[in-house]
Amino acid sequence: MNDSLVEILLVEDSQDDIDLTLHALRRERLANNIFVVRDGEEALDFLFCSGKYADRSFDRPPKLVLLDLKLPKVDGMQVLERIKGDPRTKSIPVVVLTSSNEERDLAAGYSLGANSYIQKPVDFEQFRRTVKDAGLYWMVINQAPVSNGVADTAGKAR
Amino acid sequence: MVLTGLMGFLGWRSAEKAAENADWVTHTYAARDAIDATWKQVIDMETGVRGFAVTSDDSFLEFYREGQRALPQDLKLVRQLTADNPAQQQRLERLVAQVNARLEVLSATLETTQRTGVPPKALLVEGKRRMDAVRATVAEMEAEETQLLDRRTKQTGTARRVTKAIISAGSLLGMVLLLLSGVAIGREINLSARLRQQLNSLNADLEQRIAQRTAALRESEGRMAGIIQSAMDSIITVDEEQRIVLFNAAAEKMFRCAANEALGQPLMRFIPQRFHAVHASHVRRFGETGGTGRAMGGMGALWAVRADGQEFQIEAAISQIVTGGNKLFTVILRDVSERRKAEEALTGQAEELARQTDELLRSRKALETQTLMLQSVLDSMAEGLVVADEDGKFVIWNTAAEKIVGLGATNLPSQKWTEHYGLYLADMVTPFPTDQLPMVRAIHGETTTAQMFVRNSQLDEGVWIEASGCALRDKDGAVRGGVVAFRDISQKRADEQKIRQLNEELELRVQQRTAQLEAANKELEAFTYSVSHDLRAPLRHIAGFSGILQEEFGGQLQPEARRYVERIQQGTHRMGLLVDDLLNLARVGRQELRPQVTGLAPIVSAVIADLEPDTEGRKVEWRIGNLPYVEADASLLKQIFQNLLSNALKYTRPRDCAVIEIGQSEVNGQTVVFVRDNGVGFSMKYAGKLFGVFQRLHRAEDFEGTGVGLATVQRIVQKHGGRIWAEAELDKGATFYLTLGPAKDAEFEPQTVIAGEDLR
Repeated sequence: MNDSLVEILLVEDSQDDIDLTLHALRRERLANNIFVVRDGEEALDFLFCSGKYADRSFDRPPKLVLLDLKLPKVDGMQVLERIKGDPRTKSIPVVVLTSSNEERDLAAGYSLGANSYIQKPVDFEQFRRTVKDAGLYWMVINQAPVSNGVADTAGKAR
Repeated sequence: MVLTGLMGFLGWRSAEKAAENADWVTHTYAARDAIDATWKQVIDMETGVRGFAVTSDDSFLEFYREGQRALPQDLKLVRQLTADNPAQQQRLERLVAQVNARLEVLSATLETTQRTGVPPKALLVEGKRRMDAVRATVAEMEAEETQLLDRRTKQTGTARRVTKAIISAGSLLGMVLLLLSGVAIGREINLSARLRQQLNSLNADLEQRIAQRTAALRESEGRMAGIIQSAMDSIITVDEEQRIVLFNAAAEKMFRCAANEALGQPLMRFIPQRFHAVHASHVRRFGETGGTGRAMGGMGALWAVRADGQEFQIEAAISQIVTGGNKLFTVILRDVSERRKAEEALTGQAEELARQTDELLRSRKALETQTLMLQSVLDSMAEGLVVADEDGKFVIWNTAAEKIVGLGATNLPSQKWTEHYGLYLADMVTPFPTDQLPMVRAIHGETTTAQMFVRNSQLDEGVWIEASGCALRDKDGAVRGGVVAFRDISQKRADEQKIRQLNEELELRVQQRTAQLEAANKELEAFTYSVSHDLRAPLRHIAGFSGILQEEFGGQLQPEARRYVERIQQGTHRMGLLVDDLLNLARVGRQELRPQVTGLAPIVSAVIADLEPDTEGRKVEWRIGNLPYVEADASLLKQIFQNLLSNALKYTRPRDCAVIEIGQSEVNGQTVVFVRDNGVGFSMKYAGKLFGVFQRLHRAEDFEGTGVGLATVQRIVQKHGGRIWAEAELDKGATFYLTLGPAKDAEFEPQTVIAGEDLR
């Protein structure tokens, strides 16, 4: 996958969750340029063009980050903190995927600037609907904060 | 003849003249005697009055009365004898006036003395003055007479010489005759005159002596009478018939009986009836023995009776004299009633004194008994008891006191006590302030309690004492000293310290337990969170995939397969419920530690044996060193090693030969157990997350795991008050260290030694 065309960065360590999330996004035709990283460290390398993603450019950031909080090495909260704390990345919308309301409340309590929270429901249908709504909203409907041609790409992805 | 006659006449005349002259000499003598007699008379009168004044004895007045009678005669005689001398007559007139003046004063003196009983001093002085005048005139008159006597004696001599001349001028015959007769006559005249003169002189001398003797006797008698009258003792004189002849003023007073009533009365009147017979025999015996006297008190106390019948006690001295053939007894009596009373009182006092002395002796004996009792009480006391007076002088210092502080009472001033006994404050080095010592404060009236440390030459180790002092007060509340009781509290203090230490340990344990509980709570919270998060995730996956299967491939499935998918979904739902139950269980369940001394070696061996299925097909080298005995919960110990050893096996999976070492080492004096492997290790960067619940440093598909194992190990270690940590390097293996007790607690014992003993 050409990561320079990434529209959605999915940060998730669980393969099951990845498969289920991708399945849901495909159903809504939002899965064309999805890039998956498996832990927080890799997510940060990708977003900040470091490590094995050093050749990436800040000019083409993902249009949306779907971020799981429970991650090996660097957890989701730290990743969120880095994204929202850096002027180069803070405008990237981040939708936090949480396993529980408890986790969501905890993350929200940190006021780290997540654009949205999605609780991963045990009920798969409900999960799929939520993912679709969030993806649509941030990638299609709400393009206002994006000023670097993301909207065009989003339109193309459609 | 005529001549002879003339001569004879002349001779006669001359002789006559001489004879006449001789008469005049005699006359002059007489005059002088008369003057002297008059003077003596005045003196007698004065003496009589003075005697009376001194003694009130009427007998003295005899002199006075005699003088009154005789004096005019004396003066008349003087007047006659000096009639021929006008100068003497003049002097006589003056003398008479002076004598009268003297007598006037004398009379007044007598009158006043009789009336008042006291001689008037002023009159006595005046009397003396007038007497002196009388004396001067008398002396003047006597001097005149003496002069006349001298002159007349000379005239007599002259007449004799004239007569001799006449005779020599006469005829031989006549001359011879005359001479003879003249010589004879002259001789005769001369002899006669001389004889008369001598006689007169002798008479006068005798009279004067008699007068003087009489006066002296009268004076002596008067003086004696005065003494008798004025004696303090009663003086009674009785005659042979025991009739009272003298009864002095003191006797009057003693017997309450006037002298005139007593005189002539029998002495028996003043002796109680019952002693009459005895008295009579005494008198008889005394008379017979003829002794002259018996001293006062020689007869002991006698009884007498007063005129009014009251009896009283006397002492008597008795003497007998014989005068003029009469035997007189004189008794001198002294009233000894008062003295007797005083003596009786004295006797009473002596008896009282004896009684009091007895009482005192009894009291002293009782006191001695009490003192002994007190002493034995003091000596048997376990507490030290010391008592000091208000000057800080110790009066009691019991055996226990000496035993506790090692020293006895001292005479040193209180400022030296601290140094002498080695008294210190609680820090054991600061000398106890002397003004704060319980005894010092007790003497100042304060009640105090103090703890102090005592260390001196007798007490090398030193002792702790607790002393309480209070003032000793007399019944008026005045401080009379202080008493201090003290006891050895060294053991008590040691116990207290032990208790304190135990409390501190307990506190520490409580803190540790609290920390454990907090950790447990935190873990429980993390567990709760994980259940709702991580355990739900696979459940969600099952639900998700089975949902996709049902939704997207339901049509292709055999009805039986569709039912299976349905059952999976049901199972998923059931598992959701189970998870909730587990969550509840985790919250409620709290495992209690059951520590016991356990050897680690058998536990490790057992765990390795349990892990054998996992090592199938692998090359694993177990290196097991010396392992200690520990006091711990055996089942939890096993969980520790199950986790650590399975981790070691898991993360050495990529190795051709896994080397896993279990042993002990010493870190900071504490035994530490370690588990070392040659596995993939990890970056120390993430070491802080190593023991967090569900924390993982590896991807799940590389190394399976729940992320609970090390958290569980840490929890168990913490429950035992121990510590766990890890050292690792990526790709170069990891070592986990753990202790199973608080630092520096020697709960680890080298098991080798014990094992060695077991082997033997």
